[in-house]
Amino acid sequence: MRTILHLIETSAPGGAEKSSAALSASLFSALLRDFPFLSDSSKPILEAPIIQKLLPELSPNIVASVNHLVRRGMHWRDALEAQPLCDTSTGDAVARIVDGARGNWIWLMEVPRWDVALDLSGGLGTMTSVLRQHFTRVHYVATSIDECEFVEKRCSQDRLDRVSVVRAAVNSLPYKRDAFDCISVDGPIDPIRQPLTILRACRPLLRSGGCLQFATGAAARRGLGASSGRMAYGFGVIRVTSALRRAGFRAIISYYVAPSVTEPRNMIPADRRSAYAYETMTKSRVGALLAKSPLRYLLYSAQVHLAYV
Amino acid sequence: MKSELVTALMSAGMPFEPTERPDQHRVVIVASRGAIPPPVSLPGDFVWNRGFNLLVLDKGGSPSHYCKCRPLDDHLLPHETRVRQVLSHDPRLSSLVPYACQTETRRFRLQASGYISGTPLNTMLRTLRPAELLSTLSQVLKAAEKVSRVAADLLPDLFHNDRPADLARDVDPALAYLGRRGVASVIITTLRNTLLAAGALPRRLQHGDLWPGNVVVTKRRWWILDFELFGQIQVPLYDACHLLRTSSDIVATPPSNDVWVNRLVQRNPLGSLSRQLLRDAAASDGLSPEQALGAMVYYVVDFATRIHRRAVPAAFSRPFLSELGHLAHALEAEQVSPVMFTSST
Repeated sequence: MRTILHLIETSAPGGAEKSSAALSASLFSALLRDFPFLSDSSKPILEAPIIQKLLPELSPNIVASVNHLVRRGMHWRDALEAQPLCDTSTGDAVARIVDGARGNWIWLMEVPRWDVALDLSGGLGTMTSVLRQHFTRVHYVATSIDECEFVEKRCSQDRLDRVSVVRAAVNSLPYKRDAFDCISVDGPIDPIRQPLTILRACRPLLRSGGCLQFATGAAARRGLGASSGRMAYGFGVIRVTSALRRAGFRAIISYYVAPSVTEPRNMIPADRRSAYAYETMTKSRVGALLAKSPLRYLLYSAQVHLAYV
Repeated sequence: MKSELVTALMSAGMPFEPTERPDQHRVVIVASRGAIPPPVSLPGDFVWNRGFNLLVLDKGGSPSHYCKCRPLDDHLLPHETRVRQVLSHDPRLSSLVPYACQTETRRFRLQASGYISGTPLNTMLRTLRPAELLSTLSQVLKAAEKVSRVAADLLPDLFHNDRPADLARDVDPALAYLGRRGVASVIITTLRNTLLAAGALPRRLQHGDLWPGNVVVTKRRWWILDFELFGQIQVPLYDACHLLRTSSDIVATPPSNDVWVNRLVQRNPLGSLSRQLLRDAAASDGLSPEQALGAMVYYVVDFATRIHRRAVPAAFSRPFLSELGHLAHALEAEQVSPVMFTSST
């Protein structure tokens, strides 16, 4: 059954209708709250405009525009391709959005049961679509009505059954304890907004042996976004790991992701020998040199963490 | 790691333990380009080679194997595995074509081969001087020609038929397709006339994707990789044209937005080097100048059609379509003509 459950409105005033500038400011203050080291004057501080750069191209306006076309009967894929998102240098941009390659981390995960998964990544439901290929049932949760409507239509057009679309806020998820085998939080916005809140909300929802996939990183593959991403998220491996442990996860496996969180073409275990092997394979001399050092995080602008309970 | 993947790696001969702890995993996902299993509603999705590759490390952390994982309905992977198994067993090619084995699980196919620790040619092309570039590309083409010759002996079933390749007839569906997509009829007529003048050509099994990234250089030898499309194209000179186009894209300084055909006719070192290589390749295949020109036109038409048929965004396919117009214009102006393939030029 596919239904949009309007369970709980977003707790933030204005919710999804917030302007992107206001959103950036709130993201920045949330980031300072959750990662207080960023406000230390001796450390580099992320400015709000840089946070803006880290956001993916998929702004609420684009989602609304895509959803508008789908509402009028267009196939979701055609509606996406009608958007001016094309990266002419690679021809890859549309694939970047619809590409199920974002879900190949699932092959690196092992859980005792492949029954129910929860997708907290929001967006256009790419992760939901991929999770449904592995799990019997999937719940998609987002705060925006446009996202929910779009994913509902997408699943309907793709004849993807056993997907529940739920409109709810992350800090008040309408689920009981031990409900899921896997939870995916894959996207550059939410983890920045409230990482600890999300981690603490997810932990009790996972069954024993269950896994949380938690991605952080820059959406951009190059330029200011990517370099800011390397700075912002690179040295976050230890801090995110520590946050995951504080939230109650026992085993955490981290991967570096290249070139970006929305294009996870390469996933490298976050250790010296794997990074070195990867950099050697890609023939990057600087990369191979850095891979051997503790500064290897600077090579990558995104990470994926698989945290087990 | 998912037990299905571990099982596949083990059955391909890799020393994985089913009980291995997740933090002891020794795999790096590389070139992930599509979900396995594939998502539904694929039509219109241009990522045609779905799946991902794995770099597998040994217990010391050094790369030991390279694997391709593809969906079960992928027919290119079994084809490549078969071609590589047959060719790599032949002593003439055992140092050119790496061996591969294949296994299947409930949801995907996995092809495994030993990791080749070398330098992909695309990463070193820019460092080469023109004379070195000429010699390097010439050696690659000779190696590809050797593979094609041996494959004709060992895999005769790859030939579509015994008759020579009739370029005009073979490319007709592609031209009709391009016509429906808005390519002007005057352009199509010019291209078709050139193909008609070429007549029939001897069939040669082509690699199909011979670009510098698919050539790995080690200390003592060359390796040619990625045989997924091998033999699909049987028009001589196709590999030569593709290698030259892609190499020219890499070495052009500053990066050129001009279409390949225009770069080919330019009077600069890269242009003359490309023309010389094409001439040599045509002579080596025993083609007349008219046949060589026809084969080159076939390549440009076929490649543009393939790109367009993948439903890539228009901004990506547009240059390949506009190249057809440039080529037709160059043919009319005789900037590109059979004379280009005579030894006196």
